[in-house]
Amino acid sequence: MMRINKKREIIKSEFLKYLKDVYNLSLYLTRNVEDAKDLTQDTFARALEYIDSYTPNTNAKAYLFRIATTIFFNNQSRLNTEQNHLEFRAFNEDDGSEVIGRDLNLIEDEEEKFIREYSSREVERLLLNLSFEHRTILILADIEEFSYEEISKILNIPIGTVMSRLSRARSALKKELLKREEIIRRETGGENIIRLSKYDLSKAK
Amino acid sequence: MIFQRQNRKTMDCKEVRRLITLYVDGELDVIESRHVVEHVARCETCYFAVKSERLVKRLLKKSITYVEPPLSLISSINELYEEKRSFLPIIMRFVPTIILVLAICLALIYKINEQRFDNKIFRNIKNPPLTASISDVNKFFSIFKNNSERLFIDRNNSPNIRFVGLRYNKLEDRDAAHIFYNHKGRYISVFAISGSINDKIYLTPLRPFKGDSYIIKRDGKSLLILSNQDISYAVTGDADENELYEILSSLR
Ligand SMILES: [Zn+2]
Repeated sequence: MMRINKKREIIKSEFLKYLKDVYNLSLYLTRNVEDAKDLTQDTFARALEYIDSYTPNTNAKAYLFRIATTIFFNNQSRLNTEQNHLEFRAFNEDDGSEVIGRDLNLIEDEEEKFIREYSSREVERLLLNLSFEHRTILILADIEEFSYEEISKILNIPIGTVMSRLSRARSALKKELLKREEIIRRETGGENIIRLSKYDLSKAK
Repeated sequence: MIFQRQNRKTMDCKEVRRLITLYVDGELDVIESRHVVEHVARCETCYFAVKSERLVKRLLKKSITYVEPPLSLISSINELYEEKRSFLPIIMRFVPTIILVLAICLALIYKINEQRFDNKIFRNIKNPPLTASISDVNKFFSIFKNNSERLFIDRNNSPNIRFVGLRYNKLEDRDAAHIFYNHKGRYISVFAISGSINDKIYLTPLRPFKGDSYIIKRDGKSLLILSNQDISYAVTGDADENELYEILSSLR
């Protein structure tokens, strides 16, 4: 009994380490603070409920992400609707993290320049405009940098689906980026620092 | 693993395009990656495709920063995890099991108690036979044949002891007779049991007494036991141990 208790304590502290990650994933899934709080709460409650099915030190983050996405997808299919109110960034307004690339040590290559042209707020908005399947897989692959195998376990889909969904998600985001570039091009009369269109496949024949 | 056609020296654009996502995510093995790199060095179109894919990936990684969860959420989840951390709920979970185990133990102890030989004897004492029915007497004689005479203690030889009643009993699988005597105005119960009872399990450990006899004490009363090959005796009643032993000896 003492050993079971100790094991549970270890798992609990392992889970709690990822509170921030689960909350942020929830933010991008639900796209508003209140629902993200609920989803995070539900995820940790469910993880606690089934605590005995988790083996310590077996990627708690992926385990929690799996619970969070499962709860979200289940609610999603039940409601069969996506809320469209984007209350994102009601948080983090003034912490200066909006503009990326202030760090002078950044390598001044082309890609860095490109990236610096976007504020994190802008990228966030583009990401949040994608379908929940696309934004989920982009968070898992590009922000969390999980392997395809891990993503396949988290989302409970085959690796082939991970690949195709990720490829489509990036295309979708690219499309949004190109759209934004187009708008800026029109607004500024053409000459500016737009980069992605240079690499766009349709134009790079 | 994913790229199956490693044998081919060069890959055409179509194949490379399929591998771009995997390449950017580092999911290709060394050989596959080298093929992509080699192709991209020669093909500008695919080079741009890789670049744009990587740009999107890097843009996300660099732009998306995680925020701290609201304090209310942190505290409510910590509370949830803290609350269950206390010992009580864990113990509570085992309560039904503990109760069940205890109940089984008690039932078992009761059952064993019921089965105990000496308990059966003590129970019988509370309800002594005050007469002897014909069938009881017949059974008694047929079972204890040679010893039966002695059990009807001769009044001349033992003027102090008087036969009161007899009842045929069964103690476990043994034939037994409960014979009730009056000894100097006090009552004595003798149990005659067929066969040896040395192999019986007793709830109360047997303590050796005088001679070959054993003694069990219960509620201030003594039970003296003497086990022979063909018949065993258990004597108890309103007499002290030595008097009981005297009676026991007279039965041999
Ligand atoms: Zn090519």
